[in-house]
Amino acid sequence: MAADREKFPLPERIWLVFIAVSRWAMGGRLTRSGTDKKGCANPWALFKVLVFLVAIIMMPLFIIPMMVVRLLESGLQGAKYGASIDIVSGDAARHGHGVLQPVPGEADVRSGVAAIAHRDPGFRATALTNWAVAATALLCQSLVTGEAIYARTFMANGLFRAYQALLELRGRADVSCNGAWRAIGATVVGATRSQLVEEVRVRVHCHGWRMERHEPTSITLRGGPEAATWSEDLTFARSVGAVTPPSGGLPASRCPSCGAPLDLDPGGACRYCKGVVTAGNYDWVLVSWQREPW
Amino acid sequence: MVSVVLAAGSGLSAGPGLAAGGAHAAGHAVGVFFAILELVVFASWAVLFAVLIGLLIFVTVMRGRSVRRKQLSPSPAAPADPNLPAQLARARVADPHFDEHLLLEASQLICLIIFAAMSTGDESAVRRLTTPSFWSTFYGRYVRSSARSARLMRIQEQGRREASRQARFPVDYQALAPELLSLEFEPEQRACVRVSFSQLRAVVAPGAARQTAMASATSVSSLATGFGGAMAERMNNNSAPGLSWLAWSGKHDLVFTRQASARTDPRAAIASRTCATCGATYRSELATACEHCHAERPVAWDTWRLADIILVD
Repeated sequence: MAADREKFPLPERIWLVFIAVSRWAMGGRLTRSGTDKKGCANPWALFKVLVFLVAIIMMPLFIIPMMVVRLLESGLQGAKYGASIDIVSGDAARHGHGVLQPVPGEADVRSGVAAIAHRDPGFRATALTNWAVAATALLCQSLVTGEAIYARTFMANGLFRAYQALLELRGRADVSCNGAWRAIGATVVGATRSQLVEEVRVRVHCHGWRMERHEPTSITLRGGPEAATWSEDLTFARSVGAVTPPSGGLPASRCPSCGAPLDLDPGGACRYCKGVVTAGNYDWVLVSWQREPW
Repeated sequence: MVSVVLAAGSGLSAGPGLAAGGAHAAGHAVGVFFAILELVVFASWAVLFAVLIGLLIFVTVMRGRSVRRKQLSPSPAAPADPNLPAQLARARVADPHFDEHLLLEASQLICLIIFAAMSTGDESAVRRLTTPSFWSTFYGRYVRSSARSARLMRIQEQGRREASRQARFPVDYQALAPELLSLEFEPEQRACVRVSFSQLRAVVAPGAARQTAMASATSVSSLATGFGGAMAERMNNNSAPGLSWLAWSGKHDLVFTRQASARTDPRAAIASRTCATCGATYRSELATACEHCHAERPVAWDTWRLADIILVD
């Protein structure tokens, strides 16, 4: 705490003084050892209660400096920003986070796939759906163990590093995940091509159970031990210039650069040719993974 | 003689009078002091309530307006620069190792690291990825202030009983579909990347549902209901901790800069995975230094630094 305090500017330190004083006044036993007087009959307790009351009465004097400095720092822009972000709470938040995008018409999906296949004759949509099924098993393993490394072979570098950081954050907050699930089907629900990238979205249908808990309070956050079925969207992307490698590339567990059996270091580089193959320059990589709200 | 006696008598009689006057003056001074203190305390409570309530009402009303405006006429975000392919080709000619994927990766990770900083209060991981000027932008100030609030809250919660302790922690974060929007070369190299984000936090505390309802209120009445409920639950010592959720989503434009003469070092991306000094692998994405030899960790995207974040309305 002392180290933390050193980082705070003066207004915050004034507020910390208030917290320390009120905590002291409220904390511990109200009777001193060696005396049997309890409550207000004990002068020590009376003194602490008095200090607490005085601290409460004078609380605004401690908090106003911090408030004023923060208001001046953020200004009107801060209030406008607070008002413009879409915040939702309660069940609406839980069930609104991660809503899967609507699926375009079948004709749109088919023409998107055809456009990619026209430029890259080696492209097979089934290679990506099979890969998505395999990736789902690895994601399950990764979430349950809390180890990101299982996702290294299919996630793009940016997504992998963000995923790794998220697992770390959840670990620090004592959020655990248990469960066992598998993919029972996968279909392509989107295929697009922009001036820079090609993207294919695969919807995977999963079956099994999953449960997230906050360990210190033993509160179940999401899910439960009952079996359920749900969907997840896995979006694969690559640069517009990339074509399916003759070896089959990452979906076939081959290095898209040198064709060797896939063996990547934690940075996503092939251990044989040292090429960073998970950036999306050479082959498809997973750039986004969304789970249906649960 | 008589006059001396009289003088002495008057002096004797003046002694207690003066003392009484002094005591009276002291009592008066104390009285004035307490009156001023009372006035200051009363005024400070009035200012506190006025500012807090005024701010809450302002934000709530603005949020309500913003929600209604978006529902009525959602404004499309500015599209990517149509000359982007040509700009990319120019970048590759000038810098053969230029890779836009590095910027996309950086955007996804930075969004999460900022989320982590605001959740845990530790902004050191953000500092090494940003330009010094980032901290004087609105978003920089917002990040710093939020991180400080998280640290303060942690200290505040340390002294509470386990049952009444309040915990707000990150459960999920999605930084989706980063898209390069523009690339400029002068007076400095400047790239803009758009990222869609959605974040979910759990709140475990007595009166959690009311607290979160207050945070997302879009009308004064819902704000008042949430505030009243949250305070009542918080002050009730027998309240069991409840669970509630806060989620927010949107789009951010991340602006990266580097010097006009800077060129990409292809070893940078690899160097950020293992310590150049002792060879140890970095096990944490939030680490700013090697946990073995404490050498500073290099940045994966070389000399690009985050200069600003703009909320896309």
